[in-house]
Amino acid sequence: MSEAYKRTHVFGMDYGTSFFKYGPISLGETPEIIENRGYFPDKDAIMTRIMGEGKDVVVGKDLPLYLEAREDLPSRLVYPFRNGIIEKNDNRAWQVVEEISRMALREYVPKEEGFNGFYVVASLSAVAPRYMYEKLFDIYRKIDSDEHVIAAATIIPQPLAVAISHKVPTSVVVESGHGNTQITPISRYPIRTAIIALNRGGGDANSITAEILKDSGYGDLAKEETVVRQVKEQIGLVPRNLDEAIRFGKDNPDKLATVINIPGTRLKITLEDNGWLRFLIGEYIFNPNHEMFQSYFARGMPKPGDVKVGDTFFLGMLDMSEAIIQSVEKCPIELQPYLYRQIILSGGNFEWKVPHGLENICVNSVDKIKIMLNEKGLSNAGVIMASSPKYSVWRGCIVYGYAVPEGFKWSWDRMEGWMSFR
Amino acid sequence: MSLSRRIIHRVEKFFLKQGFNPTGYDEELGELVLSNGRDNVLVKVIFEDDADKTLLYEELASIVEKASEYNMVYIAAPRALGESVETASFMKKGVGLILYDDYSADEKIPARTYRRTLAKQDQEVIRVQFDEKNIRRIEFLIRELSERIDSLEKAYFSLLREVREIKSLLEKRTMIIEKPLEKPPGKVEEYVESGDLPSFLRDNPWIEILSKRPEEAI
Repeated sequence: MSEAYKRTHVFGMDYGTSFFKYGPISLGETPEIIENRGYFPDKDAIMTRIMGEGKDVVVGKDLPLYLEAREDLPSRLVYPFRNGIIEKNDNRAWQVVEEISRMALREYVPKEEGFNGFYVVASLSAVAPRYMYEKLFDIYRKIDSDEHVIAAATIIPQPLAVAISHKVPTSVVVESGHGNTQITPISRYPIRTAIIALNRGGGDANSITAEILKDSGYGDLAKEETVVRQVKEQIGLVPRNLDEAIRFGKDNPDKLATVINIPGTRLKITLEDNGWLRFLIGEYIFNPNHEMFQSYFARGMPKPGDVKVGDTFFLGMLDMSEAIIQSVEKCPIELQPYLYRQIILSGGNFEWKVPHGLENICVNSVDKIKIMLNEKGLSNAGVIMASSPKYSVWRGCIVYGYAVPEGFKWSWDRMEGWMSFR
Repeated sequence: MSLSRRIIHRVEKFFLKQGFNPTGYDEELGELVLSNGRDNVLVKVIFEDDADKTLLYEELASIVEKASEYNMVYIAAPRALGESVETASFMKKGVGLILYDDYSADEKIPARTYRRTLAKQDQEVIRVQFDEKNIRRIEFLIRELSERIDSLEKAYFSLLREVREIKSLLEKRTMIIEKPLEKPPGKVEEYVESGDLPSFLRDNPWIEILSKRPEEAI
């Protein structure tokens, strides 16, 4: 097929930890976005029998309509990329990946004559092991065999996509999702040997939010992940300095008191005297080593541990600035200044607000990283927040597919190129 | 023709008028058997030579024994003898009396008609035959129903498959139709030709870097 055909049929798929962003190049600036999850309905349920033959797994925007008993949700609702990595034999997770990919492609299959498949650019975590690439290619091969919608496919690391969408060839991309955070130096290529992964992400901020809800008398709500996430997004604050912020909060409880409404429900959560706890949520993402967190660990909140997944170590308690420094210091010394100049923060876990009136106490993620790096002697680090962080990976995928020549075949040594299934 | 033959002929003639045809004649016993297809009739003929009342009553007693094998039994006797017999004895036994003379034969006492039940063995044979026939008929009907169900099932599954295909097509079409309403995707050719590319593609240094990947790989 021609280069011109390829350029008009690039299709991006960003398998994020919480959201799946997808769509063809023709969508322009923003992709479609749905929750990256699948629901396995109870096939023996009476309603399923009455309604006739049901799907094995339900994905997409209509998924909430299929949800059944609340106690079943954890076992039936599968977020395949929760931790960025899917176990090789986690068949249900791979089933969701297949279904969600198939749905995405079907949604945009054009009716035009001469359509011969999309050039799919998928994006996985920087620490995704090789078997995930193999499995994903297998899924694409199967989909193309069934529906003839994939002319070729390729897979790129998410941080590379972020760097591409920000038009920065040399940078450090800090991608923080639900399950983990990856720090990836990039100089035209991802420097794989310098990648550092943290076993900490938005899910951990959820954990401490749940503890705060329990302490505030909302223990029943602390079990519902969606509620906890919404609370976290509404009340979480990143302190400039945690000790000072706690003092401020205890002295000025009225300035941090808040009432949270859960959209679409009658739920109202009130934090009055405990308003200072809001600072713990943001701090925990950047540095969980403060003594304040020890009491939570002592009471049973899981402490982010060091884990090995595939060939990668995910460090639990390393603070974020230290992780960036360790990653950059694995690169050639000459390159290091250029890398510190462009540190791109990407992912929903960096989206923290600074409420009006609290500017002296709270900071956004960019300032937090700058402050932390400055404390370690890096006063001139350039830190930016990815613009449209939700979409930047998808945009990078589109650019990648647009630019990489159609005849460049996939190489397992280089982990790049187009994999064709025909 | 002998005398006895002529007498038999006259008796036969009487029964012919009643719709009976001779099916057998035992000359030695003087017994004529006739049938109309449904009923069988036995006629014991007493010839004139040896006719007297004693004989007549003996024959009456004798023929009663055979009555169970036939639907009707008669005794044919010379008119002169028959005119003087007591009809009550015949009527009591259900035996009919035919009187003949040189010219004709006619019925003086009608015989009682017996609707004979078949012998038990025969009944069993007929029942078995009837049952077998019924079973064959039921088997045929079941086979026919089974074939009809098979063809209906085939038609049902064929329709079900078609409905599913149609639903699947409709779902795809619905998605394709709905998508442009909420967000009409632009034509990339237009972007490329007009230079109105999405912001992330415009002036992106990665485009050049990535387009040279094959050269770097060599």
